[in-house]
Amino acid sequence: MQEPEHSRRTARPGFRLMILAFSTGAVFLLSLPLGRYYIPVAEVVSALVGTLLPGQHSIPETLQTVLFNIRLPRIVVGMLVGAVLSAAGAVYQGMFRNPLVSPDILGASAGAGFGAALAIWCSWGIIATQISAFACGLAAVLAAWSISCRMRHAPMLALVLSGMLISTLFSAGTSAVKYIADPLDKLPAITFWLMGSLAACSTRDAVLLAAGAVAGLVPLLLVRWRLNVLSLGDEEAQALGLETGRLRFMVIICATLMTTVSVSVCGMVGWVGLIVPHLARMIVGPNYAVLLPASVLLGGAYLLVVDDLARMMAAVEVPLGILTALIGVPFFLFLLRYNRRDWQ
Amino acid sequence: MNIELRDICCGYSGRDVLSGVSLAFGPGEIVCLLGPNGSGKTTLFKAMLGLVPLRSGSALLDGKDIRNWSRRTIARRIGYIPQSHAHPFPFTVFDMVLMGRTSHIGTCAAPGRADRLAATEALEALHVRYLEHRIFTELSGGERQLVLIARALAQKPGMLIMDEPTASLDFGNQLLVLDHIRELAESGLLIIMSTHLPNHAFFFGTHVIMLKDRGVLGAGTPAATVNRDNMRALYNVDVNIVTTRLHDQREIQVCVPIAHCACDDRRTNKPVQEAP
Repeated sequence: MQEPEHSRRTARPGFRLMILAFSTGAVFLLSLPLGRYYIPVAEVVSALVGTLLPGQHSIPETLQTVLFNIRLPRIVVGMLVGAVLSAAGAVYQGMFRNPLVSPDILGASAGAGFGAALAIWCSWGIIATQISAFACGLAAVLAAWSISCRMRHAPMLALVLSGMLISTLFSAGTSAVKYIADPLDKLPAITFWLMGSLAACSTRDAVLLAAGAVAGLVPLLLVRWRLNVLSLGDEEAQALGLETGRLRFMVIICATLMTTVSVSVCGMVGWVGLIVPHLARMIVGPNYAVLLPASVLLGGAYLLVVDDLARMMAAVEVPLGILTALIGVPFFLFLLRYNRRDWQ
Repeated sequence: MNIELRDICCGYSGRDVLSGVSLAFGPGEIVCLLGPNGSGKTTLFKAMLGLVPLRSGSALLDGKDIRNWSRRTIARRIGYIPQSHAHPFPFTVFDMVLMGRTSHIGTCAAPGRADRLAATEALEALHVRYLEHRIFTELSGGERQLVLIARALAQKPGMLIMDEPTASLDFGNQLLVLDHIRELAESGLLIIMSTHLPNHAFFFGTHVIMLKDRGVLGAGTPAATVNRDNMRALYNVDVNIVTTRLHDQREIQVCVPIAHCACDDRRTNKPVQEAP
């Protein structure tokens, strides 16, 4: 028998993915000249060429510093944060069978926020703050997971409920730290950190985030087709031959790793993990084989554009968390109004 | 393929839903499971699929205990068609049927050529290939049921378990689905389905199991099992079993409900006095 003629729906997403990849690359290149210190495109190109092919000509020191020590790390961090938050959101939406789920549903962000607030209050260094944020985010999710394991009968509901409980607990902890923090010094630091910003990103942050992204994304990308089956619900997936417990554990570990690493590097950036998977689903359909890579690409481009706005819009930098919410809410309303087909 | 349950007990959080159930069936049979709501029909299916742990007793497929089998091994032998319920994401029909191949695809792999062929064959077996590009969530109830059966066929199982395959289908679609089920049984599959209509058993059943009060109330051929006493015990309904001759001279039996009997009203739990 001949191989079935392949449906356009499954053949075209590959093409759409390619367009997405090109767009993301374009956004990346276009972001390089933008910023307080504008670098003309020609100089960006010559600096890039000069670095890739050394010995051709020398690059001015200021340009070198701004481009490679400040702007490039910031762009890379922005793309990675957008990519990992979107990927985590996409896999969670499938796993919880609910398109309104975001990557912090199990308490990862709340935990990480508390860890960071605690570290700032204790005047720990930047590295210790990141470690503390990461550790608390992980602890929050593990706590939610272990509570839910005691309610075997409805595993999904139990996870959501315990995630809510743990999130509330850690948010209360953050409030407590803010309450006792020095209002002239520590309190603003905590508040600004929680609003999320890419302003202070260094090359070290980019490397850290890249490591977290690879560790979290690669396993998810490998099992991405099975995520479809997981989204059918526990019993149906098991009857189809999927070991749901094992896959779910892996998804939670990977998503938590990515979310907490991103929160520990640049604070809380909301709405990305909720909106980008929807946008990706509108473009390539619900099949995770293409939806997950599409979410990664789109998330990277989306957050980069938002960060470009954040640093260009006003005389002072607008915190990223504010902008993502300002853009996210109207967009979400639009989705609710015009795209109801995606959740029924 | 054969399935056997030996004296199983199972249930949820300390409460037995089924106890002391034994049964055995082989290829080509169509087993209709009758019983009031909450009598444990779905739990019995889950026990066969290894989805609920057995407190005692054992479930055997082709004579082998499935207790420590992986989900993958079970899924290659039993196809399960759950009661249709809401799916949150708009997968295409083809993607949906392709998911039936989960147990044949490696953990880190995507479906290949052989899997796509199997999915296409399954759709063709149910004559619904024309639906393959449609969105599953936008299909009618009858079409959805056929697609779910196709997905189970793509698993290449020896047996199908169907949880109320005709529930919420209109009259025509019920017959359509039942005809397909009969065809599948003729091709050698063992079919176990739950239903609320005893006439389904007369229509094509080879066996009937009646579940009530955590156990088997009656089991056997439809003609021997679906009778006035059993139906009254099962549903509190008075029925007449009528034999009628079709225009092609075949004789069939039909179960005609007369009235809900008042002698043992379950809602009040109070015996009503009979008129003198």
